Amino acid sequence: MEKEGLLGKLTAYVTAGSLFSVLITLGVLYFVLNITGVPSYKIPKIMLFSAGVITLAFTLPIFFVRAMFYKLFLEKIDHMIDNMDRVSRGDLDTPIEPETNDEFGQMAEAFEKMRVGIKELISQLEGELDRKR
Amino acid sequence: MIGRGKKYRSILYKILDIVFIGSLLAAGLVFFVFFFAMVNNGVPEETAWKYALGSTLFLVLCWFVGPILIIQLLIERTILKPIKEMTKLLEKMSEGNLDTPLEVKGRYAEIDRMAEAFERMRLSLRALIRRLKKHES
Repeated sequence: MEKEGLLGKLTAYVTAGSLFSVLITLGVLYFVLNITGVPSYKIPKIMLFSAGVITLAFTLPIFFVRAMFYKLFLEKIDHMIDNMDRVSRGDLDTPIEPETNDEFGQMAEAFEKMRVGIKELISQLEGELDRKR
Repeated sequence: MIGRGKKYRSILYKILDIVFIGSLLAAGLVFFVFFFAMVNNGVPEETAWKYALGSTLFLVLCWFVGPILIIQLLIERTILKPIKEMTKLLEKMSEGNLDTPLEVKGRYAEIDRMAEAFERMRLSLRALIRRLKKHES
């Protein structure tokens, strides 16, 4: 069963959120125009123009958010998966560098500690094996 | 935890920074739209200013509180929890304990793939060490 990706889910949420914001904003604008006594025959035109501007301004950032999310999360997850695959193929000699100081950086540091610990354990075992021969 | 003089800062705060800047930009835009919509249609400038500011503040509050709660909850649940779980397990593995399985129920493809890679790594390391120990005895 194929599970859905994080990026698609996030895009759906952000799109829904910005459409919701546009609706709220237009509602408030309508309310404000009514109570400040703007003549009512002018209101539809103003609303249409503002709706255009605000919708454009609120939907364009979705692409930016996608790029941001990719950079902050998915790229690092892919990087981590690469590291794990490399270690599971038996390569324990390449150090893992933490790139950031957030949760992923912490994980990379723990990973590095694990790599060193396992490497030491293995060389210790191999040393004992050599001594026995 | 460990760290080489670098200060630990959660990824949630980075996102919060971006949301904050975005909200400020959006607030500026909305303020101008409101202000000119009123001024161009015969509302005196002082009144327009007051109403535009008030409604902008109200809207910013709406955008700001909603997204922060939703983003925090979503990212904490979907991404950070598995990451922290793996970090804890990696610390354990560095002491040579390779027998604790990873308990992550990923709902998304990326997290799932990561958990699978982790388990693969744990099992292959465990097999390697077992083989060495067996040769020894």
